[in-house]
Order: sequence, then C-alpha cells, then structure tokens
Amino acid sequence: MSGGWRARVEMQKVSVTGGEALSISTTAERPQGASWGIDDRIVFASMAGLSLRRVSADGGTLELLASSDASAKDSLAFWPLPTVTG
Amino acid sequence: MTQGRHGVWVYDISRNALTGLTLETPSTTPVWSPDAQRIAFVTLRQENIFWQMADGSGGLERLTTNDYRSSPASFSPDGQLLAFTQAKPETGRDIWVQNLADQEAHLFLSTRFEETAPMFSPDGEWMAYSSNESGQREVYVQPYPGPGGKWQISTNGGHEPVWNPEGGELFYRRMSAPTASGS
Repeated sequence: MSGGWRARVEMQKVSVTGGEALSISTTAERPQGASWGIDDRIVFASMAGLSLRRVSADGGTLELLASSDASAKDSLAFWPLPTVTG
Repeated sequence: MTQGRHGVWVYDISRNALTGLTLETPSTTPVWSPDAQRIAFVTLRQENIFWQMADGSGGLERLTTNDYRSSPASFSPDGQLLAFTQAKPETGRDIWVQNLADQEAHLFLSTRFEETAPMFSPDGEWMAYSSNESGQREVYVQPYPGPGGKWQISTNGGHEPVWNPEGGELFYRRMSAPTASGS
C-alpha cells in the first residue's frame, strides 16, 4: 500500500441571484482555465492529466477532449478559447 | 496555452495543430479576445500586457505600461475593455480596467486583500472576481463600472469564476476534502 492523500477540487455553479450551489464534479484533475460554452458544456484544462476535458454544466462524466504531447508534460498549461462550442 | 519556457501556443483541436505564438518573448497567462482574433498575455521580461493576432500575423502590441506586474484576465463583451490585475507591494493584487481605445487604465478595486480573476459578465454590466478578504478565497460580484456594493457568491471557498455565456450563473472551483490514494 503506497498511501498518501490526493487533493481534489470541486467544480460548482450557482445563480448570482441566490440559491444553493450545484456541484458539477469533484475531481483530482486539478482543473484550470475553464471556458463555459454556448452548448452549456464547460471545457477546462486538467493540470493533472495535462489535457483538455469537458463536462456538462449540469454535471456528469468528464470527457477527454484533447491531450498534450508527452514531451511537454513538465510545463504545460491550457487556456481554452472562450465560449467554445465543442 | 503556455508551454516550455513560458511561450504562448495555439492548439487547434480540430486539426491537431500546435502553433507557437510568442516563441521569442517569454509570456504567460493568455486571454482570448471575444472575437477570437487576438490573444493578450503578460510578458515575463516587461511584466506588462501585450497582445497579438492569434494567427501569428503582425507583431506584438503593448497594451499596458505599468510599474508593477500586470496580468490580463478578461475582455468586455465588445472587446473595448480589458480587465487585469496589477500586483502592488502595498495592496497586493488589485483590479484595473484598460480602455483599449484611449489606452487609459482605471482602477476598479483595490483593498489590502488579494483581488484576482476579474471576469466581465456577458452583458458587460457586472464584474465577478475572487478575493481572500474573508480569510479564504471566495467569489464576489460587483456592478461595473459601479457604483454599487459587492455580493458574495460562493460561501465555502471559490476562485477563478467563469460566467455562463447566457449570464446569471457563475462557475467556480473550490478545494475539496482530500481523499486517500494508493493501494
């Protein structure tokens, strides 16, 4: 058993006029640089997997959209295009 | 995206094509303009904001001439304003807005706390941002350009807000309780 703790990040959305926040996903992907598309899906960079991932704004399974070149994996960060349609 | 020695690259997913944009100028924190024609970024040498056509045509154009490190965050929907943070030793990161037409920068929010990630709402009338004024990072919204008070949006931690393109909702992230890994 290797043990250890894994940091997790919860992605949430909430109405600016009030109400409970909705948990979209809790992930160890270390999300960064998200973009909310007009198709109501959110694309974000995974700093753990060094890839672009996508999830419905209503929650659900994370999809792999694109992954990086393995040779660049020590220093790569994504910022998705705003309002991407996927 | 940024890669290697902090250069900005454009990755076209449909063509699986990676194109270097700022190979000669170490840069980071890229932000797309609303029309997706340009990308603004901070250069590591000048610690100021430049922008360039996303297809690489033309040269770099300097947008800010600030004394302290300035990082772009979001454009207003009409592309005329750029919200950015400037890190002053006395006040930490503050929120400024640059008018791209007259190149004038205006202070939007400065406190002794860290204000980051200013994001114009889709109608341009609100600014979402993150601040650690409560002791942890939370998401707030204020009318833009004001005046007006702020509303706290997240209640149990939140940073890097992103607007629903239809407005009215915000996406953000918060740290969750860690889980045991390995077996």
